[in-house]
Amino acid sequence: MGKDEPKPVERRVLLTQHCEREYRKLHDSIKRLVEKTLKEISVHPEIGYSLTDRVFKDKDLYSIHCGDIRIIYRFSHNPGEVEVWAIAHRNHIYEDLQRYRSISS
Amino acid sequence: MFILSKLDSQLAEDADFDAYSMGAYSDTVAEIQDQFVISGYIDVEKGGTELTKLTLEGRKEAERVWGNAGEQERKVVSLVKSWLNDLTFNELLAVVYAEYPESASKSSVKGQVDARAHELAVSLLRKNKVSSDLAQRISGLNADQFEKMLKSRGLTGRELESEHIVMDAGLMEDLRRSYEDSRHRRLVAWEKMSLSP
Repeated sequence: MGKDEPKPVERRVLLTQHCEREYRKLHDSIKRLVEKTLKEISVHPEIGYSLTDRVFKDKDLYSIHCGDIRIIYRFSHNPGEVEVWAIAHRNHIYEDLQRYRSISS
Repeated sequence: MFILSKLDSQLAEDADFDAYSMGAYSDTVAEIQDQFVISGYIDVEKGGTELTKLTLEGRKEAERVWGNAGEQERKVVSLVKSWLNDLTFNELLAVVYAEYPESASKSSVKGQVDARAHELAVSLLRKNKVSSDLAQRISGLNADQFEKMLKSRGLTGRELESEHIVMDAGLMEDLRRSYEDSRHRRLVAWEKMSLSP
């Protein structure tokens, strides 16, 4: 980053109470992965997918993946904050099953 | 069984699947299936598509076997079962033929699957059953063509992501609860919970 470029604004990350309870259940190794992503979205919240379904209309929700985890958040509601609404395991796709190769060996 | 055998080398060796007119076939698995019918553990309804159902006796035996299985085995079987749950037969064949082309070498239905390759790739992607890389391979298109095909059907990454979230009932319940928390400002500052020093 050049000398004159402004430092990106870091938003305060808040978890909903429900999300906080789910977060606490995660293994520490997954929490670290989530932390890294939360730090990233606190600075660049626009990097996630903006959700489009009519169910999400007017909620300004975004989604981002980190490993097996999906984080859903909202940031445009309050310019200084990112609200994290869900931290959940993603459903397995076919390629994920390949990780379980050679279970008997 | 074929998908499971691809995850377990011992099962692959025992089952010894081979190319057949409908895809992969194992004499061993077919023999065991016949034995289960004779023993009264399963009923096989022949029709357009063969339907195999556990009998009450079979359910008891399955529960016994399940109880003795290791945690990892149970996990893998559960994952494969949940992955298969809402797949159509053609979607399953499309994945198997793309991943294991050797299993299609004697197939009498591959032409039928290939003719619907775009449609099957899109439905697998929408159901969140395969990655976009595998969906692209199933479609038989290159990356640019595949993207154009998805666009022509109004599908972008964010639309697919939205669809996958809406399909996940547990996640939708999480969002509903969080919506209420947000409305009432029941929020917790993350820096207080952070693992980092």
